[in-house]
Amino acid sequence: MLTCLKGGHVVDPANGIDEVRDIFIKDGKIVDAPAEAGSANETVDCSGMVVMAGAIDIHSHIAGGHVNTARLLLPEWHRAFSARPGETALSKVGWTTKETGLRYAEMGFTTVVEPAMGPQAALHAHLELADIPIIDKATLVVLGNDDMLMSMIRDGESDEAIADYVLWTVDASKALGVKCINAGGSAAFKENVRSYAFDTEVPDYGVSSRQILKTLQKAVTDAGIPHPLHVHCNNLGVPGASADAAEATIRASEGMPLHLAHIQFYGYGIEGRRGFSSKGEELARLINENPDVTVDIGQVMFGQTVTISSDEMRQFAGRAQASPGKSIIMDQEANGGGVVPMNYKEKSFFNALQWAIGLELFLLIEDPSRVFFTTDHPNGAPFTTYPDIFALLMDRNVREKWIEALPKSVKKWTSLPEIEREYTLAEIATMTRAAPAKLLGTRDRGHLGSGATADISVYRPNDDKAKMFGAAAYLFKDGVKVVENGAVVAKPYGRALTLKTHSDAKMGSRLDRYFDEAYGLQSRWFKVEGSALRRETPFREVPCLS
Amino acid sequence: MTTAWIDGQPVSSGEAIREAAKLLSMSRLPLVTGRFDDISALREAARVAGFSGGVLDHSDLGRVAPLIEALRDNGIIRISPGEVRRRADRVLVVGADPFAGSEAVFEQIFAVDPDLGAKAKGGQREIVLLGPDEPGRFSEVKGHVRTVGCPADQLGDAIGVLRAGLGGKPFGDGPFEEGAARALAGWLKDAAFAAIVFDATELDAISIESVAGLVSDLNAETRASALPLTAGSVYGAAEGAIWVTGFPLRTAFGRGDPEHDMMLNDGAWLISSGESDARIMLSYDETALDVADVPTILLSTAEEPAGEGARVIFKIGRPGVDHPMVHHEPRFGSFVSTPAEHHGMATNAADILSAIADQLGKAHHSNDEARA
Repeated sequence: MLTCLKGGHVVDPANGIDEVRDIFIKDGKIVDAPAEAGSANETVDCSGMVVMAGAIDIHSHIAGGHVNTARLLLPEWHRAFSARPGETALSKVGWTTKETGLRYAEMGFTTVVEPAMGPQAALHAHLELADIPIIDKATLVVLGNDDMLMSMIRDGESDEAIADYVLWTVDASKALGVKCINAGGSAAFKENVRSYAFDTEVPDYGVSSRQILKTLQKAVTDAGIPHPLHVHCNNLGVPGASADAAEATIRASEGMPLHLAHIQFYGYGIEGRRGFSSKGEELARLINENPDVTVDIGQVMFGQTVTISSDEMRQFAGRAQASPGKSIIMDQEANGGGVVPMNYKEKSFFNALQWAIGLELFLLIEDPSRVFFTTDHPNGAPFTTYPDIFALLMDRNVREKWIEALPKSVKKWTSLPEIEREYTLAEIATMTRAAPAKLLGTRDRGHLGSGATADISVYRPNDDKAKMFGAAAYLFKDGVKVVENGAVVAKPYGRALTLKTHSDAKMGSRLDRYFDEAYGLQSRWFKVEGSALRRETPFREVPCLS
Repeated sequence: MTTAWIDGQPVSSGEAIREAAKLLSMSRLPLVTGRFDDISALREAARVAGFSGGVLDHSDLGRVAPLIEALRDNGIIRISPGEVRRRADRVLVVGADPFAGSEAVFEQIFAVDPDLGAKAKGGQREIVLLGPDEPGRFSEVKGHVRTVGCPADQLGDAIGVLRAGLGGKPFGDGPFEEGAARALAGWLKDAAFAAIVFDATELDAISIESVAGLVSDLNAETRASALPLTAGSVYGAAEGAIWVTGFPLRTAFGRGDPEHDMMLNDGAWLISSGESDARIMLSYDETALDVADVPTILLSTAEEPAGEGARVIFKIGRPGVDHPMVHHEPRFGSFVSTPAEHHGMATNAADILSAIADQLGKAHHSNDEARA
């Protein structure tokens, strides 16, 4: 069946298109206009509307052991924990796999990446992803605090052997890429180290965070994994040390691609009587000067949320700020992690400045293809706050209103009021469609060219950009209409995007022995079998770079 | 081979599925319960509960209710067994025999000496058993083992005394001999990495919170972590239910959104009180069940399923034996998939539950069409 989305304002920066035209869909793909006008079986009137590719979120904690632990820890934020509180801060998130898919789809998102899947939590994460309707999903598997990798580095093993280990892990866990979270930090914390930085050595291994990160960066690049190593730097959130960590990591990219996650949490200086200031301008300048580096923001928005991270050292330290005052911290074979509830308050100088720093970075990083739209859901804010963030980026007047509500002392410490930039629709489409697809190596999406997967979001223009992006007029997933007027009308299941690779048999045999002898575990437990997920097509493979 | 019965009469599985869906859809408040060793069955059972407006529970949930309560009210610092094996140089084992039912975890941890950590590796593990007078299963393990006797009903108090001793606060000796509590607290504090292991099905929520508090206090200066043990499948089922419904079971769907209440949605209470007027139950029990109290749909692994009074019966395969299964593996601290031991014709309970859910979904005009 041929479907025509007729007369919409197509914003497709990947193909240099920003004009009114028709888009045709057949068999789940975008196709060229037919030779014979009017031959479409179905026509959807998009006149006056904005048509973009489905949006892609490259960093949102939507599945896996830590996310599920957060659900366990915070039942009071579920919509129906009790009939009485009604709407609560996180109730809009839904707090279940099903609601995650529905809420993303309503906003016009079609692909979301869970960025922190521990190798041992791979099946758990994929089981959850399989239960998220509509959207496609992908995962990044976490390495960099595991005994195997640190031992290989310490023992001077070859680049090839390390790449084999990385590929085995990606293959077993059905990941799309690799993430490194506070490299060596969790391992050091198990040795009761409380202060750790880029050139600190992990006790008992004698390898530094820098060595771990550089080794993984090279292994990922050598293996042809399209997505660059995805890095959560050291000292997240620590005034002064966080900015130092981000700068050291950016300078260590050394000509190879590197992605730095939730950079907002690293934009903190130590000036002022509170010892907390913005490093947003300096950090943005550094990113502008280093074309190898991409970043996502991790924007903070005000309200109750929960932080979920595999940075065990950071989460342990964050227990002091837990609100409400409870947390779960996990010591596990590699990273471990923690779940700490957080309430970002508009009237707090610190939280308000965090909010401003995120927007400074969004607006001062010049190339929209190197800065990505995230709240680090739910760490900075739930993903359901995205419409408000679109409005803040696209409308200076909206920013002014928000700034007016902040403590007056904040304005002294941020350049945000002076920034005039307003994101255009094309820049929004670059940041949330074209660039993420390129960064992930998922060439079938993020654009509206012929042959692309027919993931298409259609919006009704509105001066209130939060309203515009909060409820898609239409969303098509694989060519099927799944949202109409902001409401879900169909719930097909998407797939997990996985890297098309295979692992070395010798490494497999070695790891069979290693996991058994070292941990008393069977290596097959790390492997995700598609049949376990109970979906007809659980995966779609993405090729490696040649 | 007959695999489905209605009122004791053999029927096709399609007829039984339709009858089951009819029974559930006519019910005022159906109960969806059983053991759910296979997470695949749990995922489908949640759909059945959702489409039928019923309550989802697990027959053993009461065993882990105190742990769930303690975790969500208080939180904890916890550790995986593999990390205890490699890193914990000192292990405090709380209770008479917390590894009963968790023998594989016991073997995993104590078969070797710790080998990670600058201070811990190369030495033998020190183990203190708080509770029993005799080492029991620990008599053969590697490491130095000693016992500190404590009655089972005073374990929570004992942990509280240790916390006081650690914090330098005034305290009575409680179940300890004079000076023993302060010495044991010091022993934990001086560990390279201390682990505190307990059977979470044997302690009440307050005692579990007390263990969590002790671990938290220890981490002010050193490293320590707790390992709660929960033999059986129930904790894994609760984990699975959390992502599907938002809650660790005992969740009702009668008013649309899932609503959780540990007491109101207790399956046993719902049946005994008459609140539930129908039940679908997953049983791996070989013995006959008395299910005459309310109209029941029984999914049973028994060779000759016998549910006294069950309205609809399905014979199902054994997960991990007759068909693959997905389950929570305590040694791994997460979910694993296990292939079938042999290929047979036995039906997977998840498939039957899925078919019933699909049948119910049709009646609800569901657009949840993607289920194959």
